[in-house]
Amino acid sequence: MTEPDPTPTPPSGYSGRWALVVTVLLIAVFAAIGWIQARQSSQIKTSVYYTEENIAWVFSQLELEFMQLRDNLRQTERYPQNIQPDALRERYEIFVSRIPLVQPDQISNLVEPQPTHVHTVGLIKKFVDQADPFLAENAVSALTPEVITQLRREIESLGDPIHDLSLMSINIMGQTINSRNEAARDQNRISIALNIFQGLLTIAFALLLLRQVRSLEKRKSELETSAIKLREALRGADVANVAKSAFLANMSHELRTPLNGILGMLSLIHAHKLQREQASYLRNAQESAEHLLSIVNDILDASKLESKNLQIDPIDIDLHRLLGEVESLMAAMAQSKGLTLQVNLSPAVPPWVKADGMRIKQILQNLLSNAIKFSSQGQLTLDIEVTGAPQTLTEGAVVPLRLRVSDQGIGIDEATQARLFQRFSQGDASTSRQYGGSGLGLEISRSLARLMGGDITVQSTPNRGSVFMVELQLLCAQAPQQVLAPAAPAPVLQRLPGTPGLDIVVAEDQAVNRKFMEVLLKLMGHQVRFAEDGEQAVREVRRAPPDVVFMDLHMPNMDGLEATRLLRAGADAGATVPIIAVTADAFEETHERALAAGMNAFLSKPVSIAQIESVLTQLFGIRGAAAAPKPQPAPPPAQTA
Amino acid sequence: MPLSLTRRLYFLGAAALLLTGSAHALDTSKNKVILSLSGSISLKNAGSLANFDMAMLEALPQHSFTTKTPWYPEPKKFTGPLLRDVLAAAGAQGKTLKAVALNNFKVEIPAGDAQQFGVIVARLMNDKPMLIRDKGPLFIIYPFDTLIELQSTRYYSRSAWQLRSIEVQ
Repeated sequence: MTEPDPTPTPPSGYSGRWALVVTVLLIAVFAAIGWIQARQSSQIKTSVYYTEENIAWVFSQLELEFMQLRDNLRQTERYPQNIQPDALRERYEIFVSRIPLVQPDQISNLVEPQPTHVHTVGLIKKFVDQADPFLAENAVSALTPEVITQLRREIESLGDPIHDLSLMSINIMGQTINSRNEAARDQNRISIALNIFQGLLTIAFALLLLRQVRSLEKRKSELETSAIKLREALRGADVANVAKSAFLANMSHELRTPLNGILGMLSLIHAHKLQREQASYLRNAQESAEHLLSIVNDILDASKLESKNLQIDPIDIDLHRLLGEVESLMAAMAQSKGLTLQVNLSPAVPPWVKADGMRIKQILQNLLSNAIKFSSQGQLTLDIEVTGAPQTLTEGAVVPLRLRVSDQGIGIDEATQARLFQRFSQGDASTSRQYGGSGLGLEISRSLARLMGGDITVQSTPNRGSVFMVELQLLCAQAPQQVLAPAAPAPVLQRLPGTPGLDIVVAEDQAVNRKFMEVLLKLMGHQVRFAEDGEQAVREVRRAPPDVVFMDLHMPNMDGLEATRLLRAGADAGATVPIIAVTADAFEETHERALAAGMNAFLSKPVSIAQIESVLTQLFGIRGAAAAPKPQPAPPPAQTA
Repeated sequence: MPLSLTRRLYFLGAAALLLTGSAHALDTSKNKVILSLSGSISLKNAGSLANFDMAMLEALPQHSFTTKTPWYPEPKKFTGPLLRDVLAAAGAQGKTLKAVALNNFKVEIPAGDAQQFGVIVARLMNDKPMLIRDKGPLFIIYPFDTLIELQSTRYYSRSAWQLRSIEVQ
């Protein structure tokens, strides 16, 4: 186990704050860059036309035109006969056309106009005022030599001021270019600084990201590690659970053997004359043992269900007869508590179905015994009906059966209903103490119903009783051609006195079971020899072939199956001697394996006198029956499958 | 109109000036010559020149538009013939126009400008003839307000004022 990180969140909050700071700074940098670019662009725009270079050009153009006009006037003064008024006027007009371009306000966006500039422009305008009447395009006054001379004199006085103006413009150009260059340099510096800052921020951002990614990766790997650990823990838990289930299954199996021994022995005591008190103790002991057996059986079933080892073996069964058996068994139980059991079998229910009869019986007995357990008065009802639309019940048709067990007992509240079918769940602590039980019955019943493709549901109102509904989908089966005679009420055969009993070998490793078999068989007037494992059994049979062998399947050294195969392989009497398998396994598969090994019949533990007698009379006729004068043994112990 | 065929061809044709070679003669200028075309021209009326007086320019189809300019604080209305009509009147064929102003200022104008934009040779500003001191008498004016791309130094500098002659190359 690792210690949980005591401060799992602060790092991410910390870097989150840093990311915010860096982002804000980046935005600020971008805004600054945008502002600089906007300023540059606006500067370019304002100087689109009147650039600094343009100023020098405009002023020098003025001076040039001034000089051309002055030269023209000088020439005209010197050679009055060559006067060309139109050409002179055109020169003058061109000069005048330049004047608006050198107005102080034209350059005011670049530099503050200087007084000399204003003064010079004033002089030029004064000259224009004087010249216009004679030199303008539409002038009417005559250009006499006197006028020319006068104008020539006037224009001469403009020479120096206009030249100074031209020089001033070059100065302005120099200054503005200089200041513009400086501004550009400044902006470059700011841009570079911003770029560097931006670069640093980007690096900081990248580092931050890197850190985030690293911490994410670290966290991811931590998560993966913990997931692996969890998976391992889960696997360990699963393994432990499987081991526990296997242990439970083994223990239950192991418990059943001595329990069966106890029950057998207790049933034998009944044959003796007992005092009233002794009989009462005995009954208590027997009931306790039976209860214990039923709990052990439940645990075995539950562990098989959990390990998915429990199998449903559907065969053709007589459902009506099965229900009759359940009714007679449970009615007696109900009666002993002063309850009545009413069974309503719908005529639509087909008598023969394909199903695992033992398991259906188990479900019904569980539900009915619960109903009896939790009712102190009233009636129990078992309704059996076919749900859905009536249909022709041909072989193989699906019969939706509903088996409904209703009682008028204590009922179940909703909270309890919700966990009723869960393992070890009983009404509550008080009911479990009061009514007992393994707490596995309903879970097993529901699991069995689900294995059979059905389900169990419950409806209940506290103090008004409960209704358990078993829904099953069974297949319709054909009634067998040959109807077997009911086994139970067969006439009891009795061997005539003096007829010798059978010579029987019992192979059984458990001492208590050997004792039980000895008592039973001797009661019936047979001779018994024992073997404690397969090897002994084979030796005993070969030493003196018996009439019949009772062979336990599970024995140390050599099991019953192996011993049987060995005997059948031999050439002596062992090859043909009838062998009856005895086992606590009720599985069909075990049955088949026994027959395959060469055994003749199969008995489930715990065995009863009736079963032994039935098997022996089948094999030996009257010789297998009990001897006549012998006293009737006690009824066999009630079996809870 | 004698110029309709060439005009149509201009509209159909490429940027280069096309000459139909038709025999429409150019009238001789009667008053003061204010615009002279020279160089690659086919219709001449004074030696190698095609001379125009104000009346001849006025006789060409007149176009007017009002536009903002960098030379005046407020928009002005300019009126005059299209530059391409003037060129056509002289049978001009060339790729470059060298505009020369009264003060000998020279600027080169791609002949394509005359086709591509409705450039006029303005002779009236706000419906009045322009004096030389008012950048007249002729002023090459682009319709600056119709296209943002015209509002740049490139086209402002091609707008020759006090236009005196055009040399077609």
